[in-house]
Amino acid sequence: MKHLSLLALLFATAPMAWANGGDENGVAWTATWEEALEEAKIRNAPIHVSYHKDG
Amino acid sequence: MESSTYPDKKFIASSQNYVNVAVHNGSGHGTKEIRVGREIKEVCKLYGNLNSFVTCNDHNSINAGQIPGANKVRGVPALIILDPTGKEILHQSAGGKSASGLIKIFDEVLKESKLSPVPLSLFQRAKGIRAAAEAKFEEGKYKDAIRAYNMLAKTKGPKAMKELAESWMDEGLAKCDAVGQGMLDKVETLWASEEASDKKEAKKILKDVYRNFKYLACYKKAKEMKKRIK
Repeated sequence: MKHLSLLALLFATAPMAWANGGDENGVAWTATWEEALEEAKIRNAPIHVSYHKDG
Repeated sequence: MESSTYPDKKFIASSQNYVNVAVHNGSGHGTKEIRVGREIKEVCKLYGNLNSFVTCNDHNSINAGQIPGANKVRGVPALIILDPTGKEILHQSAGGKSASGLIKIFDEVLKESKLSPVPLSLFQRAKGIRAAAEAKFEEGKYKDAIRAYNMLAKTKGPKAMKELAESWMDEGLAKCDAVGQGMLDKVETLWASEEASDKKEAKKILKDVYRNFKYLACYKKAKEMKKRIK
């Protein structure tokens, strides 16, 4: 019972691919530079910055 | 690149060893809805997906001036790769890249810099558990919040990741304990009252702490108080 409620808790908050278009997995872009730098330090991961513009 | 390189499955896998930032001046991409649990998020049609809830406003308003090497960008598309502290490793201005071309660059940088990043999936899992715990805490469902915070102790991966998850767990459990301690203070006040209804309420709150805050410091205190408050 305890395990079931924990599973329910995780399912309620985890991304659910089956509820979307099915092709929604993609590159994890961060929303801000501060967020990127913090995550990079935690994960010991390099940062990829890509510059684009419309047109 | 936005419509060919980034949606490539092999590139998506490769990008998970990196933290990715899109600086894109333009907001005419439209929006799409992504369902996350019970919530529906409106994201940029180009950059939004289940791993990224970026909006046009986000990628359009990133303060590029803060990013090392940004002042050297002369044309777009441009690519900058930085180490985990933000120090520039590679800079290539004006030139689109195919998925295979970008994967090759990514692999070379990882090899040369001898980095072994925490996989994105592990990081996201821990973040998801923390978010679930926080949500339960906000709802006042402390028993569920404590269970979820305790799950962070099972986080796998490198030492840094485990330490981070443990710090999130400790922080969360301390927050829950503070709520429980506050409830016990109320119990003492109500129990000191002469009113029978107050004493009844004191017992009810004490029972709540005993049932819902296992095995925090306030639970142990509640256990002791139960011997006195009957």
